[in-house]
Amino acid sequence: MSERYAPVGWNVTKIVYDAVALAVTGVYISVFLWVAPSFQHVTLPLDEYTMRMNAFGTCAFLLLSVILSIGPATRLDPRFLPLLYNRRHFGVLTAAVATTHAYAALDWYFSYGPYDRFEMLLRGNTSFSQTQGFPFEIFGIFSLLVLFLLAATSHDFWLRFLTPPLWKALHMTLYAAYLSVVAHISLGALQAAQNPFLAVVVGFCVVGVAALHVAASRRRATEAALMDGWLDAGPAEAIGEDLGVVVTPPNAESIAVFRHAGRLSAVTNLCAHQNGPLAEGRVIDGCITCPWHGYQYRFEDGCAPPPFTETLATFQLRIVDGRVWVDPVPKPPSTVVTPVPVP
Amino acid sequence: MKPLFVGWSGRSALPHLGFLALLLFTLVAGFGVLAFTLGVTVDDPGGGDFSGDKDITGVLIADPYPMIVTDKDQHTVILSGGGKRGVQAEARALDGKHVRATGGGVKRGDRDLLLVDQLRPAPGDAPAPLREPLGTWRLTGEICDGKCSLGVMRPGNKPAHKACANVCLLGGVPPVFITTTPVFGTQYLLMGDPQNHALPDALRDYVAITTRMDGTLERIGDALLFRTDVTRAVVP
Repeated sequence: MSERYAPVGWNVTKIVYDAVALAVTGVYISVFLWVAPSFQHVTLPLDEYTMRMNAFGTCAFLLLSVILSIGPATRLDPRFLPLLYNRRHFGVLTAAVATTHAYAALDWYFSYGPYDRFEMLLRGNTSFSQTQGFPFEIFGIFSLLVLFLLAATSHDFWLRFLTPPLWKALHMTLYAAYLSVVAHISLGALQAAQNPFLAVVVGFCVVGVAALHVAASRRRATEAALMDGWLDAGPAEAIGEDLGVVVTPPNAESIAVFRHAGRLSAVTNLCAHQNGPLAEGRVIDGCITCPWHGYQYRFEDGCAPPPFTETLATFQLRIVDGRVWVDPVPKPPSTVVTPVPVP
Repeated sequence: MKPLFVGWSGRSALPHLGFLALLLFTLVAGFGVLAFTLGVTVDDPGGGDFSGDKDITGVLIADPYPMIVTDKDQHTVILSGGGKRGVQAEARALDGKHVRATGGGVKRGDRDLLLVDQLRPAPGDAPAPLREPLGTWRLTGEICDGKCSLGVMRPGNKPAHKACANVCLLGGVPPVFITTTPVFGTQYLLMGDPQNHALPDALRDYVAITTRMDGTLERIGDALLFRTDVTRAVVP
């Protein structure tokens, strides 16, 4: 048995996605290297190799920050889902940018001496017992190796070969790589920087990524708690004005969910008169009207309008991400439940 | 069920085109603004730079690190090789001799370094260079390699450059001590150990960070030589 894998299964969305990722990276590098130097307040400009290191290094960090923000952003707002679609290509691009930064550093800082550049990379600074002057390169090497590994295994072949759980676990090491990059910057460039802007940007990114993850995690926990045992009644927009839909809990009587005046409310689907199917009725004079004998009930409390005395059980509703959720536990008849506005 | 984004359908993004356009603009503009701001807000690396081809004549002093004190004006020029290499071997044979050196110059302020192409004996006597002991000093500053910090790299100091400086020092490029405040009008001091030898390997732990060291100062030509025991350096 065999299976063929194309390098990339292209479609229009992927092409657009990659074009945007390349445009963002291209704009950043171009502005950093060819526009910003003209506006520096310096005696003499920084050398081009250092500028190249700085441009590609900061770009890789910012791209990583964006990549790690995509997951929680989609949990908070599904409109970010298109960013998630081709995230693997974004990761490969980031690995390429980080490699360019590493090559620039290797070529400028560790070459031209009497020793091999890779030997110097490991032996040039061995002050591991110091905070000042710590060999911060080691964190960059670790991050780059992780990025290489993730880029190399980003193809579907590896997803199938490693199995999704293992592949996913492997690619979660991106978080370790990100922390390592932060250490790399903090013990390297930030130790030397007199201008605080880089520190502000790094801090903002780290706090932003962390905050997004915390918010998404809380949102997920809240949703899980909210929906514990509740029933999905479908999209709110699918319930037409002055119409009802039926939700049937397991081992219980069905529930009618109505939309009236742009708001949703729920009562038992059984009329108090002869258990007629209320969801199949109509709305007359602002009241649910049973299709069998015309008995009427108010939306907010399930009570028949005076002088009538029939009452219905009411139910709580919530709308989350445009979907209607119903608490299957009935409120005592005539309990007021405020109708939920449809966003 | 939550909304899905099905990329291959080509239609999933259509309801959110406005949002995606805004997102695209924000990403491109945001990255552009960040690139500009990060590229502009760099620390000033000062005015060290290459100073063109040089041809100097003077007395060569090989220890603790090679230098020439010129005949013309008793100006002290640090000697280094091409790349991250020193010229100790070439200088050793000409120690105390009258020499002529050619190569590319590097200059920062009043301090010069020569990237030696040719070093050979020069005719004439070797006049004794000016030497003046200046006593014992406790100085605070940063050890750098003389080549990058004088202007071959901009910037060529601070912790981000530490490994590069160590590679230079391993290759034989002379170290310099950049003091936090001027001493006799200069912040760039030549370095050596108390016995006037090159500094030991322990030096490298103190490179590119602020240190405080005790030692003696001697004026050689128009440069200051700081002789110190780096193993007793203190990180304030």
